[in-house]
Amino acid sequence: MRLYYIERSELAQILKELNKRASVHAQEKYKQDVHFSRFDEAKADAIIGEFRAEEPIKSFFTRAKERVADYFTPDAQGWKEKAVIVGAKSCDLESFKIQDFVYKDSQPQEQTYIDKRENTFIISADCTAFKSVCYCLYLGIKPYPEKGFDINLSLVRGGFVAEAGSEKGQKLVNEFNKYFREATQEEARAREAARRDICDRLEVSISKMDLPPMDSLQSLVRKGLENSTWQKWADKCVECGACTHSCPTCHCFLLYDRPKSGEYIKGRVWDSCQYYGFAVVAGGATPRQKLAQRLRNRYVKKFDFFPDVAKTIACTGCGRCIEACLGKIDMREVFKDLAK
Amino acid sequence: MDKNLYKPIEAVVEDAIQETSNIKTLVVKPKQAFGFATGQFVEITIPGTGGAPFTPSSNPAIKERFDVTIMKVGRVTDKIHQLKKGDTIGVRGPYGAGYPLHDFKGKEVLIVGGGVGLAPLRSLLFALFNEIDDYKKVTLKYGARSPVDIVFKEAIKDWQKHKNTSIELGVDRGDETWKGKVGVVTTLLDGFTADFNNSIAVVCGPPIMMKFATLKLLAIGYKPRQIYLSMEKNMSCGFGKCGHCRLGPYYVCKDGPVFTYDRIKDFEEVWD
Repeated sequence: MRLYYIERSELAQILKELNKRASVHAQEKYKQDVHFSRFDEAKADAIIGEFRAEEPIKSFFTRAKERVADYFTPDAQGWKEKAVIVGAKSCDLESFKIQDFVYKDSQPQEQTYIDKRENTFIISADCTAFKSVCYCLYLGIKPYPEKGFDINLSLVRGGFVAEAGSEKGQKLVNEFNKYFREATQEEARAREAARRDICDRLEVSISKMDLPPMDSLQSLVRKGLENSTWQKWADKCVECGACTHSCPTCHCFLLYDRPKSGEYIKGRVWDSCQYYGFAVVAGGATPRQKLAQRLRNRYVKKFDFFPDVAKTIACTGCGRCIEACLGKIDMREVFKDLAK
Repeated sequence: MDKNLYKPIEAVVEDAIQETSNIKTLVVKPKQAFGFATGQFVEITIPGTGGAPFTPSSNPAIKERFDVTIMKVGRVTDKIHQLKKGDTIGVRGPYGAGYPLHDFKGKEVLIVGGGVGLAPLRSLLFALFNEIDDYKKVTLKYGARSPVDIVFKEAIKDWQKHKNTSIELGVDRGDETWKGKVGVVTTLLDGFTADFNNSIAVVCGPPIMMKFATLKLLAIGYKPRQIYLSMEKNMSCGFGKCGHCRLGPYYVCKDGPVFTYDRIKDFEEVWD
């Protein structure tokens, strides 16, 4: 593996150049959180380290609400817009295992999703900090990306150790070789030391959470409604859907139709299995009448369904659902209650 | 570029036939080639209003048009019932796996239907009639709420004329004209017998009817893998992306909608 080194000011030059070719989305700090926003040349100082953004990375590939088809008129051919995402974290990349499974690797494939994935250049970064809700390591996900990026950046001595993870990434390194120089052994070692350090600190934080063994999750969520855990936590739920919308792996959507300036369009919005209407059939019946059933459904989908069909859990330990929940429902606490 | 999965095909309503007070059959002619296998479903959309999944009720051998028989139960079906000859609608599909006719060949086929559940079963019956010599026996047991709720009432008389075919109707509540059986559809199965080593049963109807029909079929000698159920779940996309119709490890739209009972019997929410 070849590692490069690039100064922060040089990275800013590259981002400025990329911003002429594509829409560049970088991370910005706002109060205690990090958010994705359009890269601003004036600031040109994107947050590269820190932790994951509030917005799940899926929002670049399937919008919260978007038009998916027009009625009876030819569609525009393919998705041509180019994008660059800067500062994506390991858990963000990890979420592609589910989104790709749904839209790209399962038949029928969704061409717009595939086009967007191909047209999006991902510059990821190691976490240099974590939030109290972060528990990626518990699920075996490291706080630094090992694959799934075009270029990864690791904060080392004010600049970055860079690694190309794809052909596209290597091409970019080659194009900007006046900025990317080969990393020294010392810089490579500094990257490893920083990675060990974040893992150690995160490990301490997670060990305090006292979670049941990860490999018990599938059997835990299979516990039925007779287990009082589901009702206990459902009592706090206000059915806002923040957990599913902020979740990077939740993929469910609802198609809708509406007239638009004399024409008809078909759109889709992110849906949430926490909503009463999610499983309602014609005539009004629903298999998930109770909120506790709907709350449980989310866990079953993530820790039972996806392991069965895609050989992976649909959780990255990003903790967004915990942060977003108005009722302070904490997935980790739910696991612990189930394990009691 | 591959075709847009979400884009409906333009189709014209060629006819709208009132079957019962709340059930209509639309004859739909898509403007593009549109074949389906019996048991598969289509998404019918009304531009600007919305769509819903329906299983065609017509003969799958007819490729240029298809029928959908629809009960008025909500927002979308209310609009569908207002459609007139010549109106334009959208269709997507066909989706899912239909009835595996190759598994039925050479066997005694029992079909148990309830209410508007006879719609998809009519398509199945037509498919069986197309090659009736390939099946040992075809039996239809159909139950409706009352005599006026029986769909395809006149056509059923013609179906009886096919060889190897027998049909029995029942109603939950009779009236002065009714001479057939009275009672829930499972009473039509009282005393029913078949060569259970060489038989299959197909059930389609409201969930509660499917449940009791299935239990009855098990009691009279069918094995779970011999019972084919048409499952109904909330569906939006129709091809396994939107997540609504999950049943255990399956998406009903993609892995079904027809399942043998042994595949789903251990999962939650089968009958709900």
